[in-house]
Amino acid sequence: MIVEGFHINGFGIFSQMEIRGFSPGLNIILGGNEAGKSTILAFLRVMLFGFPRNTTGTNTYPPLKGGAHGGSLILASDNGPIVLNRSPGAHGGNISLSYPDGTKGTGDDLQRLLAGATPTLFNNVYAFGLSELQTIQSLTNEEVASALYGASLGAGVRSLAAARKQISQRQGDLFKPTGKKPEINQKISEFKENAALITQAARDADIYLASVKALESIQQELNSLNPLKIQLNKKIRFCENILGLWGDWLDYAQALSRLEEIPQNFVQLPENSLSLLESLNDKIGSATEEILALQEELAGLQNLAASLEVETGLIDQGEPIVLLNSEYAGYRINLENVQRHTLQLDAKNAEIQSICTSLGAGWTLERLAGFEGSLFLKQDLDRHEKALSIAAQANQQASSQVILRQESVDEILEEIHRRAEAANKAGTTPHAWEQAFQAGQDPLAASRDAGNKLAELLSRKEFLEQELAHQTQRMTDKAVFAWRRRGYFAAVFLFGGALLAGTGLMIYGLEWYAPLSAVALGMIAGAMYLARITKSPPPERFIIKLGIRDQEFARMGTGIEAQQAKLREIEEDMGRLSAGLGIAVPQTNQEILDFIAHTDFEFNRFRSWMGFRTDLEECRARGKAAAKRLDAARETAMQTQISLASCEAAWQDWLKGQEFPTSLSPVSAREALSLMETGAALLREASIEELQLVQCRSKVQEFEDNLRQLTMALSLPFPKPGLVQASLQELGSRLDKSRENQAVQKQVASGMETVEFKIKEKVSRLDNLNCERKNLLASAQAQSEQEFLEKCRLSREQISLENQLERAASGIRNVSGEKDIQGLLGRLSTMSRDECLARLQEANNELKCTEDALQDLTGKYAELKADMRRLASDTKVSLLRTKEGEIAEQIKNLSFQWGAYTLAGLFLERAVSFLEEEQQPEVITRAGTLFKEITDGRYERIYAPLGEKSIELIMTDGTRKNPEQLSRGTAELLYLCIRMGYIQARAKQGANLPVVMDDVLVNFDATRATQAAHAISGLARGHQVFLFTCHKPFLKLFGNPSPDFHLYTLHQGKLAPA
Amino acid sequence: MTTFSFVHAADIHLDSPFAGITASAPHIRETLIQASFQAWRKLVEFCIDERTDFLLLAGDIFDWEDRSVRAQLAFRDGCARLADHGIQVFAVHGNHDPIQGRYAAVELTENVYVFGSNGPETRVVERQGSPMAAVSGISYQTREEKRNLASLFPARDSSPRLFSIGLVHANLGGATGHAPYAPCTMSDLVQASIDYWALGHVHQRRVVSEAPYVVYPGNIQGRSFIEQGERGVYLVHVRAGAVTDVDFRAMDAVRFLVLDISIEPHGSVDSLVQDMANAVYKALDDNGDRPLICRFTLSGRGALFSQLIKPGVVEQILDNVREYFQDKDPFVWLENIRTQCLPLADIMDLMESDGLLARVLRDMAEVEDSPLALSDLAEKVLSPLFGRRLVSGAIGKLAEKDIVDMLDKARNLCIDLLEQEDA
Repeated sequence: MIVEGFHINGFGIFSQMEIRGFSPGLNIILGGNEAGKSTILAFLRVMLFGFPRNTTGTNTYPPLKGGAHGGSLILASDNGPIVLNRSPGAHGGNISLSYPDGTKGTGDDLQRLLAGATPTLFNNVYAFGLSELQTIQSLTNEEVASALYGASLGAGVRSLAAARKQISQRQGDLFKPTGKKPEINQKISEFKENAALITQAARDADIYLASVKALESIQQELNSLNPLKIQLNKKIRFCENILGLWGDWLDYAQALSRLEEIPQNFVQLPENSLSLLESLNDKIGSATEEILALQEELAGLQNLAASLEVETGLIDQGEPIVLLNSEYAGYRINLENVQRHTLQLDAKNAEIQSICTSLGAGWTLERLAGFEGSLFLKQDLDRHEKALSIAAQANQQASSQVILRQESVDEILEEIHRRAEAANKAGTTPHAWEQAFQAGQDPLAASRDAGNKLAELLSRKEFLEQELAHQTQRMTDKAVFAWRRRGYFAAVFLFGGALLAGTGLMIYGLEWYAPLSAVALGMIAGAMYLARITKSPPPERFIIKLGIRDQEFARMGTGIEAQQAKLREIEEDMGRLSAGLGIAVPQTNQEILDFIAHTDFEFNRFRSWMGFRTDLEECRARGKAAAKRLDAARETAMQTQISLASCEAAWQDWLKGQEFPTSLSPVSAREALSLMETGAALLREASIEELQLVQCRSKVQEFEDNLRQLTMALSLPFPKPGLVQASLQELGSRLDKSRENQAVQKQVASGMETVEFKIKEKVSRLDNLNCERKNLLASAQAQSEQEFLEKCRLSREQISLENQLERAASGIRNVSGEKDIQGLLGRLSTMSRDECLARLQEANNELKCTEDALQDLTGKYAELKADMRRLASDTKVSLLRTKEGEIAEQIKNLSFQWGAYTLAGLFLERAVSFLEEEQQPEVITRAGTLFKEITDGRYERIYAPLGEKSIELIMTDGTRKNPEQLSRGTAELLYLCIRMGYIQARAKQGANLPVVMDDVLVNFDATRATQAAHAISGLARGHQVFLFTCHKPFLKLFGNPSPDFHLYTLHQGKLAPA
Repeated sequence: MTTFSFVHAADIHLDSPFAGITASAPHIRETLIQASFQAWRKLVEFCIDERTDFLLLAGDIFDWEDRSVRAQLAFRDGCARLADHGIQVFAVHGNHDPIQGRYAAVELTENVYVFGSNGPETRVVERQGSPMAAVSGISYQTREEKRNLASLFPARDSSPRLFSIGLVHANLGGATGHAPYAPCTMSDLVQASIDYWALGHVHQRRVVSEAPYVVYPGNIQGRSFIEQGERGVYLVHVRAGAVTDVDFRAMDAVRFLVLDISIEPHGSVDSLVQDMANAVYKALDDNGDRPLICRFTLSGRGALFSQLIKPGVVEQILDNVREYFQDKDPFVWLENIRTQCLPLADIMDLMESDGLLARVLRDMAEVEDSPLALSDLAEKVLSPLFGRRLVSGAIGKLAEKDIVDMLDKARNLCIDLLEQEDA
């Protein structure tokens, strides 16, 4: 990045200050204190990296002498100047970057130009003052130090020390050969404890084995005790059975004794003999009572049949009576309908007569009956009405449209008038504008381009003139130098000639004054010649000869001629362009700016005029269109008028065809049609009423004829009007009663037959029962009922005792379970109850002892079984094994982590060691070379321990020094070299920012200052350097100004070439 | 010759702990403890359902010499169930349960025959009095059985004989990853008078040969991520003295899966987490309704590398993915994430500069390529920890691959600590 110049709008004490033409090499700006050096340094920083935030008292250099805060920097590029503008705003200010071709750049483009340099880096390394130079602190800022010392680690690498610390810390956290706290150490202890638990748990198999053996032993004992227990239980059960059946045994013995007392020679009667006799006696008694009851019932029925009355004549005429009763309601309705229809018929006839009168003379009932109110008639009426309505509406709309469009045309004409007046107000316009307007071109584009071209040519012309002056001056200086050198040689030649002449005269033996005079004359001549030479410019002839003899001088001459030729070309171009524009050739930038301003003014005027003209044309076009639309509306209105007349004529024709007055409107015609339809409908209704009246009269007559026939058959008079219903109802009532009595008589006769049949059945059954009783007594060989009853009692007692015997024997069998019951009964007859009780007691005692022993063994057995089940389902070992696996995995993971950190640390240290010895950062290497050169080899090199933000100096004899051990001047020289080393190293990577130094030489002694100036000049050969100083004597350290070395003075807010 | 079928299983490892799994949830831990028992019970039910004639167990029924009571009782109960269905069991001892191991007094049912270790014995399997096959086998005497047990079987001859099965727990051809016990060669197996070699010891199933059949069924329950994927047995059908069908059936109660995820397509951690969750959903679809233990391997080259090597990031991702499946039943335990991914920039590019990191990486690469240098690292640098007897006992001796793994992690560490912020 090369700064060609800058323009300050307003910044500190500077206002509207512009300077161009900075050297791409060294630029020294000489200015006293408070002249504004620091302000310019700040301006450059602000332009490149933005305004600092106005906090914590930072000086933002507000414009003290007017002008907008900020300015622009003109940067050189292969294609022309790039202009960087910056004004205050958010995020460092508002940036605009303009490229030579007119395109605009962004903040990102600026970042690319800065090649990644940060404000901190620029302020400490590229743009620094004495205060920054005096200390290493400004270089040990984290960001700057990383840039300076971190080259070997890779740009942007994080702190090596932090990496070392992290690795070491994590290693220690994971494992230490001794100690309990590290994670792996803890896990190893846990693993040991778990292993011990596994060993202990693995003994469960032995326990299980012992349990199995103990179980077998218990099982054997149980096997021997169980049969004994069973035997004892059997014995106890036997005794308990005997005691349990003792009651049954006593019953059995008692029943057997009584049975033996009953006589054996009587007839054994069935068990139910007594109940059989009692049953027969009961049945005989009840049969006798039923027969008496049936005879009473028969007598009652005979009395009832004799009391019922029946009218047979009435029953014969039953059907007509019922029919007339049911038709009576219809007869009444028909009578009422005859009356109603008569009234309605009269009313309709009156109404029809009224309609005929309304329709006018000529309308009779016959004509009305002949009217056909067809649907087609109504449709015709509707069609005519609709056509008339549409035609009238269309005519109305067309008339309205004509009026509206006429108003629109009038408005547009007024607007055309207004715009024409406005266009005239834009002033006089050249004829060319009208042509450009028609062609759609910008008539002032060429003038603006020419103006810009003129500005560019003038700028180039000024630059060439400066260059020409500078080259001419250099050539003149060179010629003067050669001319004077020639004079010196001539003077020396004269002096030498005089000396030789004097010496020769002395050799020839002349007096002392003669040689002395010759020498003096020679010296005087030489001095006079020398004086003449130094005072007079070199003659033209000398210059021509010098051009032939000195190739460099000749090249300079050629260069000046070429530049003069270019200058002429530029002047010609400017003349041509000026003539084209009709102006004098501009001599200053201001003249060109005035011309461009005038052109811009004319351009704006052209744009306004063009706007008015465009509007006017648009209005005229709209006016034409509106006129066309008006004509079309008028045509439409005329057509709708014709259409309406046509529809009205068709309506008149239709009215005539229907014999209606032609003055009728469609509404009136519709009303007349409606009235006719009503009349015709009434005629049809009257006809229907008449027909219904005839039918009702016929039905009334038929009913009265039937009633007359009935009264004649019953020899009764025809009922008087109003008594027909009562007579019919009385006849119906009497008919129902007769029919009811007749039915009851039939039922009574049937019931008497049934009762007589039942009496016969009961008598027969009574005879049978008496016969059965007689047979029963005979079967028991009893003469009387008394004897029969005694035999029954004996028979029942014998059966009861036999049953008692059976039950007792069954109970004994069930309780004892003995199959041989007779044998058991025999044994029981020999046993006593007390003896049995004693044997039971003895067996119970033995059983209790056996059960206690068994319970004890069973308990032990259950315990062992439970233990074995627990062992069988115990997951303790499994859990411990699982835990062992888990811990082992954790140890493995942690160990591998430890291994990774250990290896990372190992390889890191190996690499650090290698790089420290073999590969110092390039910055330090370059700085070391510079420092060695400046200090005449007193310091061999600079050494930077890797990863540390410090440096050491290695002297020729191998001893090392820290910067703190150096004198202030040497230390400043060292820091200057480090910065220059960085700048060179970065330049190699493509980053080339301007270097700004503010009075950095003041602390150096003469020798160091010369060496530093030499180094700065060397740096300026590849980089643009701005050196601010207030010490004029330093200027001589940098030689005379040249294209690579510009000198400027700064005074009272003005920066100008010296 | 009749038609019959048998099931060939091996390496039941009853009551075997799971290696390299750390599960905090109690129900997962309980399932893992029960897994080998569950797989054994499934095997028993499978034999019953298939109405197979006999079951072959080719060693390592139990996991330790001092086999647990629970394991032996579970084995006995399973055999008793098989006895109820008339299924015979033939078994040999392996290196995990040699004959000299400690026994509890658990008496096996009569349908079980365990071959001795003195020499091959032969048992004829009969159906309704007529012989079907001859099963020969030999057990391990001690854990470190050095004999070539296969070579002890009688040599093949031309005399007519029954369909012969050889039951051995052996290391065929020096299979890597398994202890070199009872070593044998294919030649030993071919020369013997055996039609079907029912082998055990190698946990990865494979049918080595079909003439004669030489088959490793693998273990029935995976116990670590080395034994991932489905595990089970072979159901073998024999007709007229020839094997007609060798059908693999999965028996594992819990399945290990390593899910490989490439970081290449992912620009953010969220996207990676979603991809990982999707991979688990797919695994669930593919593996039926059994519990899964999954480990992720992140591979590929991508921009996420620089984030993944930072401490705590991988753990956070794991927690995020676990949240998707925390209520899943049967469970899915996402065990860990192994990062084998690479930075977007090639390591070779990083190695090309003159910087410190480049120097470190070049040095590491040189060492990684030299087995001697790796061995030197193990002896001189890593031995303070890995040289400890207890540590090597817990996690095994340090292999070259382990050192390379550590070196890989160390490389990532150095990149994380030393690489440019904007790399």
